[in-house]
Amino acid sequence: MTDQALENKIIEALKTVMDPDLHKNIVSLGFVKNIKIDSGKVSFDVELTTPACPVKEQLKRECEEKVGTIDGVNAVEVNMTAQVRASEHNQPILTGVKNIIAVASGKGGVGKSTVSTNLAIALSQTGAKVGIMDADIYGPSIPKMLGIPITPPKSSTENRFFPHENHGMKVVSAAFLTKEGQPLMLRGPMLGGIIQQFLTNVEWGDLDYLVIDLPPGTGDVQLTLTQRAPLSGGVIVTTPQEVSLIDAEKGVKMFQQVKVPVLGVVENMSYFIPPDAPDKKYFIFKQGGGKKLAEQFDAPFLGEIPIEGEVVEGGDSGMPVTLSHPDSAASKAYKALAGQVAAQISINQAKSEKSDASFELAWKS
Amino acid sequence: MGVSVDNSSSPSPKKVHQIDETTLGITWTDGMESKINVKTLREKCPCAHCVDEWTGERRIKEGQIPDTIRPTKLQNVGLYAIQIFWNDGHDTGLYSHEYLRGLGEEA
Repeated sequence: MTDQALENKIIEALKTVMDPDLHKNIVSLGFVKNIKIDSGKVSFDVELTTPACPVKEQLKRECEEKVGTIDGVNAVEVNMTAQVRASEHNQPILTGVKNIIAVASGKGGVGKSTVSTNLAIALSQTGAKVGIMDADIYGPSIPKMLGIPITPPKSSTENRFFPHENHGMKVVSAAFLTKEGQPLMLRGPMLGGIIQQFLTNVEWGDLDYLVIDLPPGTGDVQLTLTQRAPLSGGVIVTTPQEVSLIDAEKGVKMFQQVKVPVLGVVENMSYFIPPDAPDKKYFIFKQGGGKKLAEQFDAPFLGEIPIEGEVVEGGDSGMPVTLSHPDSAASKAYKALAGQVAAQISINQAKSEKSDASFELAWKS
Repeated sequence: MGVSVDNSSSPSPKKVHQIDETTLGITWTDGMESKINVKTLREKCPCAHCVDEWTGERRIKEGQIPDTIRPTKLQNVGLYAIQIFWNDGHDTGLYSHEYLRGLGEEA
């Protein structure tokens, strides 16, 4: 068989490999690249839309199996790569940022900042370039969680400034704009001003994902962000008990009202794993609330994150659990969360109706 | 893998365009075409100056908006609304897609 005929057979075989999220085969999705054949040895790249793809290994195995059984192939090498696709918008802000994920909760105290931080780390651990915007102006806690000392940001040209960096991620936070321990006391309009600066004056560089940790509730900051920032989607954090769910519901409705796609609901503090009995789960705050909320809004349920001593310790020591204990149950839950979030963004991009999301029309008279 | 949210349940403008000097056209993602008279659009401004925040009472009196009213510029606000700048200096109205859709159906 000629190499060309063999290549055709390989492509035919790969056309039977489906992406389970996008419901199309990987050839028509344009994922298959650089097919090389050298006397029966076959290699090719599969370029996914996110390095955080939850089914990466499964796809790789399927490619190897299907191509491996073709006559004339005696070795298969599949290179899994990823090129994160940008959510479409042409707003002149955050131009190097491909996807923006807003993390919200209706209620304070559900661990939103912990979830944002660990979600960002889990995304970056897959190889993606990630930044965090701490938009919780009144109670900024991301710098503490990531172990970044409070110093003023390094300035760039024309009022612009550089984000702080740690653990391979870029970070902006209102905490850097004050002296440590000093509260920021601001009226509404000032809040919008700070957020506007975070959107327009930060040298983010190129990012695959920007995670925005929103303040709790549905106020000024949320409005400014949804009006100005081209958000790819929102993640709602809740805890299992009803008081939290009532407010989380408002968070979901907020996103729906401003037409930001709801990527899903994640339930934090789902159960407690005692350190002396790691096989046990204590459901302290009831069970299944997050899942129910997701079902109610027909939104994906992104998982349950357990309470473990390491999570708390990680937040206080500047070494989040996903970095300090990557094999813990919580870290695994975060890894799954990152995969789900990235997958949902890819799904939305694949089916998004080309709407005139971003335009300016000058009236002729 | 979870199912994804159907965010397309409410239609969005696919194309916002000027039909003639006094008519705004919107082509929606579900294929519907809206034609809205600009004077009507100005009279129906949903902002807090034009509609009482508490009572919902419309503050624009009939005949108050001149026939010469024209937009100067229209632009998107986030993913959910359109802001219109008018030649009378007014620009605080954010017309949500839902609201515009309703106006288009009335016509």
